[in-house]
Amino acid sequence: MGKYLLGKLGRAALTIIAVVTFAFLALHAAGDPAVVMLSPDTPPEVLDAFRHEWGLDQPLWQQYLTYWGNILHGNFGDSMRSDRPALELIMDRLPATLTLMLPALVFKIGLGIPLGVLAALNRNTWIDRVTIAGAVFSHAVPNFVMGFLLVILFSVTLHWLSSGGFEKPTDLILPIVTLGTSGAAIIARFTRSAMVDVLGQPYVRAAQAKGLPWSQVIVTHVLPNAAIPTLTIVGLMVGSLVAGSVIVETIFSWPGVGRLLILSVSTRDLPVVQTLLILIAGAMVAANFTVDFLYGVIDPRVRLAPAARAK
Amino acid sequence: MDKAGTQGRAVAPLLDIRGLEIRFRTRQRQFRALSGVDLTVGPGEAVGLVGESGSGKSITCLAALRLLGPRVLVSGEVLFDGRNLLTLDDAAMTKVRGGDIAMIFQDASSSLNPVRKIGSQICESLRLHQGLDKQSAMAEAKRLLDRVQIPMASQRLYDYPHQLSGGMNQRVMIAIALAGSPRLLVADEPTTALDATVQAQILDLLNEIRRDTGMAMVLISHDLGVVAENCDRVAVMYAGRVMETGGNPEIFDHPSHPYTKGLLAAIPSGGGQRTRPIPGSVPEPWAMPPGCVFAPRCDYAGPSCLAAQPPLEPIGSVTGQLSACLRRTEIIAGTAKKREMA
Amino acid sequence: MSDLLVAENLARHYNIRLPGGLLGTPAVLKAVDGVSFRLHRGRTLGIVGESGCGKSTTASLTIGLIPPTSGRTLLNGEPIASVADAHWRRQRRDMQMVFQDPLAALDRRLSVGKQLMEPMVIHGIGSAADRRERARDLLSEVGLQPHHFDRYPHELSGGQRQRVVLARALMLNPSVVVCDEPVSALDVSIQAQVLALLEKLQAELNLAYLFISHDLRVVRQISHEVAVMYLGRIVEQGSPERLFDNPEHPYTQMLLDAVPAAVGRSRSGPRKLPQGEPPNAINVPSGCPFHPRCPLAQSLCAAERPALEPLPDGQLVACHAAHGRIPRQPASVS
Repeated sequence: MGKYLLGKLGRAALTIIAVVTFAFLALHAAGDPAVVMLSPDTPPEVLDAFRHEWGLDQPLWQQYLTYWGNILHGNFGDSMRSDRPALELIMDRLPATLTLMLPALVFKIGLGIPLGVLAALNRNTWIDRVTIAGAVFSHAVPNFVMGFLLVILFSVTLHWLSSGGFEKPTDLILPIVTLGTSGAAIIARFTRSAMVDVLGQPYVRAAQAKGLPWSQVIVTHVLPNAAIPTLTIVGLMVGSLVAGSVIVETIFSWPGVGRLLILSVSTRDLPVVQTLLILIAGAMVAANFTVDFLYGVIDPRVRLAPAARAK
Repeated sequence: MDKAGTQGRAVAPLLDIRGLEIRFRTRQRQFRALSGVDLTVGPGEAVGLVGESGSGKSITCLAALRLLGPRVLVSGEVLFDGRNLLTLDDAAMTKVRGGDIAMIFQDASSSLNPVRKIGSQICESLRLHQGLDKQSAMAEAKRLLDRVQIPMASQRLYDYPHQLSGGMNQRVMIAIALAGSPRLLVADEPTTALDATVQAQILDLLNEIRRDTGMAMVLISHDLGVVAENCDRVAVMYAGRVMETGGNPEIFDHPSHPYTKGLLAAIPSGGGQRTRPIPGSVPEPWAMPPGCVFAPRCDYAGPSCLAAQPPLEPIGSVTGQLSACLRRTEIIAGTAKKREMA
Repeated sequence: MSDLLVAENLARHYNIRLPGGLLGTPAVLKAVDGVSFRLHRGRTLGIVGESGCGKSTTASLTIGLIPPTSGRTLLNGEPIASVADAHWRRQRRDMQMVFQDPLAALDRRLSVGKQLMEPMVIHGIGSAADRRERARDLLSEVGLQPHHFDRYPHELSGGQRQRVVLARALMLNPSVVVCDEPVSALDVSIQAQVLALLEKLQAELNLAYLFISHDLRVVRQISHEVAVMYLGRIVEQGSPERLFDNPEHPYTQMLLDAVPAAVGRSRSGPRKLPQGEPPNAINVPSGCPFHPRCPLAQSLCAAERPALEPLPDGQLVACHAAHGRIPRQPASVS
């Protein structure tokens, strides 16, 4: 297991390095950053002063190393729009995002996995067909359509819930449902296909032949094996938590990271964009690494090489 | 091992399958995979079930244990100790599985849960059938591993299936089967995926266990040699039907069905004789020929063979041998001449 | 009879890492460890052995699908090139391989006809009309109907698919066909059909076969000469009659003993099976690789590896007992 994890850790580190490099180059790929930030008809002395202030007149490799140095000290640069440290801006918004995304994740898993299991155990019956049709439908309907429909129904027509804002706990309901439905659909389909795959394996029939009641076969033999592929998709979803959702945040006026991202991109606030890039990628890498670790825990074939087998 | 035919005495059979029919329904078609199979197994007896792909030998036993799933229509009777297994409620049926009738499968490594240790999987059966607590179950599991001749049994308990070879895993499956002290073991091609020397060891082990416990066995195989060496009686199946049953070696010395004869001629016997293939191929279950299902490939078929599928009936001269061929008496006597189709 | 293909001391070792330590301990897996033989036109060499003996690796080495760690193969006196240049491609046309699983060997998305013509397309031989004609010729040669040209693999039975694979192997007119368990996945009655077809093709086209199988009975029928492999080496080689009726090497004797007796013949006495664990190609025992499991083993067997040498009647055996250097009976047997 140790060797397995070490390899995964190495890869994770490499990914982070690649992302940081890419983030750094993104700033320069847009053209002369000074011209991009300030308007093209700024007088050249102002441009030069700007460049000097931001260290843009140094050789590229030096800028790169400075960038790394800054990051390792927690300095991600200042927002060009608001002059506050980029990291601070993001941290301001993060709680709001997580308040939305974490419950949404629970919603996705809590709805998706049971539905997927139900569909698989009743495959090719009406239960299966309805569940999967429902999943396909909710996945096909775009976020914003779903969001607006829910707002129209529950807020405007029924007046049960408010259409925006950040104050009451009930404000959370509509955004979470909007966010979670699509993800729940994906998890349901993945879980179903993982279950169907496992149900067709010889060891399930052999477990039945042992005389185990069907419920015990499911719990002891089917679910643990079906968890392995399902874990992958859940891991990806955890990884994208930090990114929030631009559309949902916009519809429901939620002050989250997603709206910050769009704002920063449209105003060319490159330090913020870079920082967001690194943070989101970092979250994804961490999530993937955790999934790899959990694979090792659940599946002995992954962590124990068969080379030195007894015969 | 007593190889003499055991028919003729009025001993109630342990397993009595009567008229077993299996229908599959897919979206395109509905067809019969098994068309009226009769099979008996006496207490302590070893019955070999031979056939090629599509013969139905595996699904006969899977249907008897009701392991085929809810969307398969099974009709007929499967009498075990007088009770019809097909009409038992679920709770009673799960007691029969593993406790009265155990089954081992072809690919042992795939028949074990890959994410649980060997010991835990054996204990699962022990706690289910013998009600043991965790500690006693582990001790008994070790004893069972010793019984199936797995070296260093106490360490093997903590291994996973992928760490053992196919032969070892098959021994583990046998140990699991023994946990319930079954009276009948169904072995579905238990050695097909194994090397010749390992195959021989496993079959010898099964025979030894049968001698000790008096357990009966249904041995499913496509290898006539394996069946000839290990079984008291043999049933030959083709395209979802039983073509012939008889004692070992009578059925091979004097076959009474052209398919059995054809199989014997088609196998390389190791004695160097030329093999004679059976022309044609097995019909698909949804495209069965009228009349005798083997007629299109049969050297001895005549016009009456195309009228209806001949039933499985005794041969006048020989007790205990049944054949589904209209010309059974001539075939067994060797006097049948090959006929041209009219 | 001139040698068509000569294999000289083929060996294939893999460097692997066993679990243990931070990066694992290095070890060598000797899949094939010194195998030599000759193939002739119109003759079949059968190789038998259990899993792990190296017979499939030998098949791949023989026609150059994987490069040998040492040793070489000569085709018509020329070494088989290890570089994928034009010379190698020319040699590839002369050697073909047939595998165990015909469904896996055929592309599900291409029709039979297209797959038959593909070898000629790859080597740029003949016009489209030529290829079609040759494909149809070979289809009938292997006993299939013309309408099978447009079928897809999943529409055919196992036996029919294997015939397609054979026909495809013959498209370029090879002189050597290596068959790696070609009938193991087929029903018994179909096996007999495909074996008969292989024999017919050999007679008509003067093909040399290297026939690999774990089934001794099948190998006996089709081979003119049989070699028994154990842990990467040939331990006995000779004519089928000599080898099966009167085996010299203890492993061959046990292998034959393990095979179920011919139907109708009863076994004489209890079966002699190898003691101990099946072999591991990572830890090959010193001296004779079979000595830990051999009832005749003496200290000489652990010390010195017996070479594959001929007995007076021509039978090749790699065993000290067979050559009289140690007693032929276990000490306890009188």
